[in-house]
Amino acid sequence: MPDTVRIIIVEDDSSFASFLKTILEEEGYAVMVFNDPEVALKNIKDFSPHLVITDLKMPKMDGIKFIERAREVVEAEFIVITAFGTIPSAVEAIKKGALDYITKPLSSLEEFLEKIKKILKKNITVQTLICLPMKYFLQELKMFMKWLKKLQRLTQL
Amino acid sequence: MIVFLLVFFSALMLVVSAFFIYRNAEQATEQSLKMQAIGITITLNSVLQNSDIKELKRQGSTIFSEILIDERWEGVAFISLYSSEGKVVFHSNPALIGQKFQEVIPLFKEKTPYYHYLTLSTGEKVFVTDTKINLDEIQYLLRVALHTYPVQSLVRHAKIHMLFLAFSAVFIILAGFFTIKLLSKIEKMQNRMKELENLSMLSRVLAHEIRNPLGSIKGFAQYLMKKISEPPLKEYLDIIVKESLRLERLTDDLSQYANPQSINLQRVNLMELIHETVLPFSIEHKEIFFELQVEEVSIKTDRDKIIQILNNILQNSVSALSEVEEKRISIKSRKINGRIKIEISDTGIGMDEEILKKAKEPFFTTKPKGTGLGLAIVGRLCEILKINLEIKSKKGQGTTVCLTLLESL
Repeated sequence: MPDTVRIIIVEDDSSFASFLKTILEEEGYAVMVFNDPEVALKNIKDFSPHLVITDLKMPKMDGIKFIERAREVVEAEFIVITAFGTIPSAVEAIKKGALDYITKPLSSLEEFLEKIKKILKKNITVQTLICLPMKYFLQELKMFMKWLKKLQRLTQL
Repeated sequence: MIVFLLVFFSALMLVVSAFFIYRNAEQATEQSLKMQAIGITITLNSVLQNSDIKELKRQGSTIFSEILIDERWEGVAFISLYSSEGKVVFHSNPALIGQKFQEVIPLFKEKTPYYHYLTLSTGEKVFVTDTKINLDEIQYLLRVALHTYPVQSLVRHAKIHMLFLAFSAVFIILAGFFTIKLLSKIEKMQNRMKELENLSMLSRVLAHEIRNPLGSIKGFAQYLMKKISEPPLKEYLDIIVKESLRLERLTDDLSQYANPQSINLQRVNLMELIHETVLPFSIEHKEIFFELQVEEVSIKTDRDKIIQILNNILQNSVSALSEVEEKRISIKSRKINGRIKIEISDTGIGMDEEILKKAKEPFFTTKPKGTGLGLAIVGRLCEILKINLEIKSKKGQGTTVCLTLLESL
């Protein structure tokens, strides 16, 4: 799936997860849902998502802990879902590296989709304009260094 | 109440016991004076019986004044002997010998010894014992008058003791009363805190348990509304979304009432804040005439909470105006004695006394779709921001809400 934008939803409330999947897939994103954060952690690397949307309050592992552990495995943007009353937790999640938060229920579909689009655009722009060229540049630099070392050995001979 | 009665009863017992101590001291004092007077009377009688009374009378004897010279008799005010005609035969004050005292005559008919008190010309009150004695077969009246002050000190002490105990009793009653009042206030506060803690927990559970399913109900309904264009179905979906929003608002209100966020103080231009808050209402309700008389004043307070308070009050005013012809909301604010008074009045349907009493209670509403938390939130936020909240209303004459704020929190 190299060309599609991949999104993971980690949410124990399967109905809400299913709703998010429906509207996001309709926008053309590849969406995978995990109701269990531990299972999500095991599979996240294979799916290599651009964006992870996670609930904050889950039975086995809270959203903040999940973000901390997931960030060790993948480079993706994180958004947290919070029911009212957990705004301070959402702020805490942002401090731990989440980019934004959404409230449950969503205030409006359009607003939510716009938010996702903006985050992904930024993420993809950063990846395509900075991260990827940097990656290629570093690879070329490594090759050049290897070639330089070979040349040095040859001149010594 | 039972505790107060116990305190009151014990204090009363204290007063009663003090009174009896005083009475006993008084009686003991009188008994002591009587004993002393009887002893002196017997001694004098015996002296007189052994003397030649006629000879003594003839000599104009000063026998009584001589007796009183002895310092052992210092408690005696005077001693005297009267004839049945009331004439002084002997007296410790020789100047009075021979004088006649009419008031003594009836005492010869009394049963003796006769004890009573007498006030002297000096103003001193003395204890008097009159005893009839026979000398050479003639009846005389022997009067022994004793100073009361040596024994009266005992009564004085008892009186001071009684007064001290009475004051202690009053103090105990007052202290008991105020302690009980304080305790009941503390108990009320504890109950209120417990109530709020329970409500806070309930609201958190509600927020999670209601908002979770509501997320998918409202979400899918909104999604289907975009997909479906058939008018009746779209209408039903609209109802689902609206009712979901109502439930959402209930959880929002409940959370705000039970878990108000911490105070975030900042300098606020009150005039700008009121204008900003009123603006959306005036745009949405063009039929209502908004009249603003707001002084420009800067206060230090929690901006968001003040906006929330004003919003809820304005929301109520707007609802109250829906059924009346003259639709007017007036907002006045002015500085009085270092405090800022904001007055929000409407020409709405108003409230009768009963509704007004319950208006600030949580979950009390007269609106078919209200949560009953609007004014309760206002009350709670005013409590937090130390704002005095006063609501005046009369059925059919509108409502006025007065907020009195501190210039700086």
